[in-house]
Amino acid sequence: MWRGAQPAAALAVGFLFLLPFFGPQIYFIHLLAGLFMQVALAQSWNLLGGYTRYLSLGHVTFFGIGAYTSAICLNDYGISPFLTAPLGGVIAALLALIIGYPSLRLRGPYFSVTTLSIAFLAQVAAFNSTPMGGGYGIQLPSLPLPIWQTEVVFYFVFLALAGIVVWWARKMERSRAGLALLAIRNDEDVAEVFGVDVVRAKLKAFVVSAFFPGVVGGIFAYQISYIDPHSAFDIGLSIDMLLMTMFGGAGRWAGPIVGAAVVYLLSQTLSFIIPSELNRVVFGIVLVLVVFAMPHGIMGFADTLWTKRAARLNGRMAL
Amino acid sequence: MFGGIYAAIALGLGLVWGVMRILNIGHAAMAILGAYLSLTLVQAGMDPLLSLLVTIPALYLVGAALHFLVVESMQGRKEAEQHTFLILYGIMVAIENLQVFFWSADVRLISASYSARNLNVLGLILPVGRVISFVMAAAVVAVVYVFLNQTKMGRAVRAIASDRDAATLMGISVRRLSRVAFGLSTATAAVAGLAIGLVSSFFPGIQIVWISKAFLVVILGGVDNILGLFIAAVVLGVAENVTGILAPAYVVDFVAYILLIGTLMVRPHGLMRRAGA
Repeated sequence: MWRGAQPAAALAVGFLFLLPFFGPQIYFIHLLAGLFMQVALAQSWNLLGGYTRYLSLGHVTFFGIGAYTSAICLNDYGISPFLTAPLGGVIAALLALIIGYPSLRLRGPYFSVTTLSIAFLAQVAAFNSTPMGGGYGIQLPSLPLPIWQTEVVFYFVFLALAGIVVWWARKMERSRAGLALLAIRNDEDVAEVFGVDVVRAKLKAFVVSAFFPGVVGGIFAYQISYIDPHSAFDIGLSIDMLLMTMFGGAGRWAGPIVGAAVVYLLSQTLSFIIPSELNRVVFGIVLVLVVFAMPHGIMGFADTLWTKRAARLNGRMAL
Repeated sequence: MFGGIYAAIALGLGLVWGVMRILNIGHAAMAILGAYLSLTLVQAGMDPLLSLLVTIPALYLVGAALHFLVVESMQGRKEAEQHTFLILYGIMVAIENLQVFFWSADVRLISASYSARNLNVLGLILPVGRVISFVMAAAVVAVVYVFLNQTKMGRAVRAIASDRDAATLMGISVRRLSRVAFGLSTATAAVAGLAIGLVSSFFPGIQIVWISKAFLVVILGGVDNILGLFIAAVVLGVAENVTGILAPAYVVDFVAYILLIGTLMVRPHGLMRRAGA
């Protein structure tokens, strides 16, 4: 199945690496950098939500923590976010460890509501914390480079980040850990009976899936050079991660890439056409329709088509 | 005083949860929608209490339609619970942003001619708006309590909650009554919405606060225990008030969340839930 997909993917990646050297318009560089960020975020969410169906609605918390970590490190200690972004990831991962240990024992909607509450709590905390600038947010100096070079730097950083997360997901999917997560998704009790250390497996997935948004958030803060509790802890970002993954196909490494590309480019196009409030309405409705029509996402849908075609071809050959 | 509102909003959440095992994450968004509908009617010159005559049936229809279109068509799927949850989440997002579109993101409050007046009860000075809001919320809890315990239909709904298959065998139309229960749940959200609008400001997105608190109340009070629910709601209201006196205002926001997260960690299935239920 999916013959010819690998060379095509290699070609696409090569093209993306060379693209900035052809000198495209700055808008496209910025657009694609944003897309890579979404791919990295959606893929991180997929690591837990996609493979185990523990649907986190609070992943933006980890993103926000990363953003604030690098902002504070840059402004108070003068260390570049490119160095401190992993630190943000580590702090996010630590938080995931602390909240994951008790909350991952909760199943289904219980877990989702808890994560949603934590995201809201984090936003309230950010509003009321003086070192984090409260409601005023934090202003960051931008890169000391001309604007075109700045955009290109972020383009490559986000491309690399997206690449790392996708690579991680692909590697995990084919490992014992990945199998354990799929077993949990199918039936957690059965998985436990068969000797899967479910608590450990879920916790590991949650920590890793919190680490990457922390790193991405740190870089994002540097890119837009101003963060406040609204932008860094925007609940909408959690929805986007979930939506993109479900749209592309949850629980498979290629899903979030396809989903992020379709949803992000769609929302960017929509923002030209309709007012931004309606944009989110369309998002909500799209989520509803996706669950109705394509419960396994675009990739699952494509699989079905592919299998049907293969069956038809086989039938013809047999004749 | 907020305890009454918590009870009213948790009531609908618990009803749907108890009967259908569905967590309607969009429930508080429905309540806020009810508040906005009331606001529009009040601005058109209607009394807030009269506006309920419009918003209750309207939200009943929304709820019944939602059950018909979403919940019933999801049944039989392998991951029905997650898919229903996701769809309700999508609907919540859509409702929230439709509110921004129609009513803008401004912070609103419903005010009636009498809401600024005070009532003197045995030396206690009580603002009329708050009293009305509490009485309204308590009334809706009482109505649902009587419905579930005293009417034939209500007893049938309770039968579904305790055992779906057995209820079907007893000749209860589970599908029809589930639809009624879902509609009833969103209808109570209309009352809760007005109660919210009368005493506290609201804006699109505030439903996250209310849904977490309603969720906490349901967890504390028990899904199929309306009396427990009411007590839990009042306890939360008092706990927040006490914190408000002892600590800076923003700490109050944390009380419910910390209680919620703490409770879930210690007793994942609620404090008053029967063992094995």
